[in-house]
Amino acid sequence: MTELEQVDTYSPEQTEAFGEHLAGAYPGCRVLALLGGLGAGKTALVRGLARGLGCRDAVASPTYAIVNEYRGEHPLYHFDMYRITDSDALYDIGWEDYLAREGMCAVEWSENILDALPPGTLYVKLDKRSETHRHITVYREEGTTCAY
Amino acid sequence: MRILALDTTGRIASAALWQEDRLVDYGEKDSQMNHSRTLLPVVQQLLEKQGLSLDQMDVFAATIGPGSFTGVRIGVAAVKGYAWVTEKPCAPVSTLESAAFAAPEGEGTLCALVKARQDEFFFALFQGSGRERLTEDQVGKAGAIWQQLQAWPKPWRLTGDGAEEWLALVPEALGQTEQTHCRQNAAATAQCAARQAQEGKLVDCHTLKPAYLRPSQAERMRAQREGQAQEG
Repeated sequence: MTELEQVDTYSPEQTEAFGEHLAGAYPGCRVLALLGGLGAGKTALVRGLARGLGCRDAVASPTYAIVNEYRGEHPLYHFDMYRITDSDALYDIGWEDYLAREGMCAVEWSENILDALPPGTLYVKLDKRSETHRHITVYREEGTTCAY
Repeated sequence: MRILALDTTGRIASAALWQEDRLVDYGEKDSQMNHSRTLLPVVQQLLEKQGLSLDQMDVFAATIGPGSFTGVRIGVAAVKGYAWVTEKPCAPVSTLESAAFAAPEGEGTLCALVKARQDEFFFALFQGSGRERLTEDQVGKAGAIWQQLQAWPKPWRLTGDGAEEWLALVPEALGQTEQTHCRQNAAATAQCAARQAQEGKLVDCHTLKPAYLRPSQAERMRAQREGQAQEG
């Protein structure tokens, strides 16, 4: 894996701001895989990402819906794979159709579907160092570019 | 015999009315994969234009896959609904067969192609004249499909909405194959359905189901294990 950047944030707002930065920092990026446990700030980051992409729908945690679609100039598909247990279940939510569509996929709990992430996926790891401190690392597989 | 056929397996949703042995009317909409919103109005318009109602259909035909996961389900669900309410039978038509019948008859071998994921395609081979099936519906990598096709009689003709992207991945095939620029659509599906009706291959609405052409996880894991055992 090639590390691209890292940052420390000390509030949800700062994590959001980093998400907004990510929206424009890697043009052509189609899949953003978020790694991190409960309360790591994944949804906060996606909120910022959506703002950066110009989405007009409000971001909410897709824990129950599994996927939320946010409309806008650059559509965003926000996944929570917490309840996706195998690749058949992943297929059944139309994952492959989403990959084929225009728009970015932001995937929470991507640990559950690592095999299904396409080449060029951007990985964003959120490390909870303390109640307020998050250490965020962005990386990508060596030799891959973002365009899917 | 009247057939209402739907195709939602690709980007363009279409509906067709077929009577006896010919196409009566056809409508389509390029809905950028929003078929759930556009399909029923297309059907409605078609029926109104012909002054017909759903009750007057004898068979409902769906292109059942392979193709877009969501698209396949929309068409199948709509046909199931129509058939259930009117208590009429269904015709399950493969997307690749629809693509084959969309192309004109000709010499040699017809290769129907629909995009799967990344560099993979759903494909099947048909005889150029008569369009009899030569292979089952399969999925394979672009290069492997080209290898297979070359084993069959020339000329090699391509059909299906995956043909253009396939050629982009296999440029050596460009000068050696003929592009028909045809794709699966409801009119071709209706034609296939008419044949199925003649051959007694219709099913009831509860039996009609999508054909994703995707092995289950268990099958994939077994294939992976067997592959590893062979390599070892």
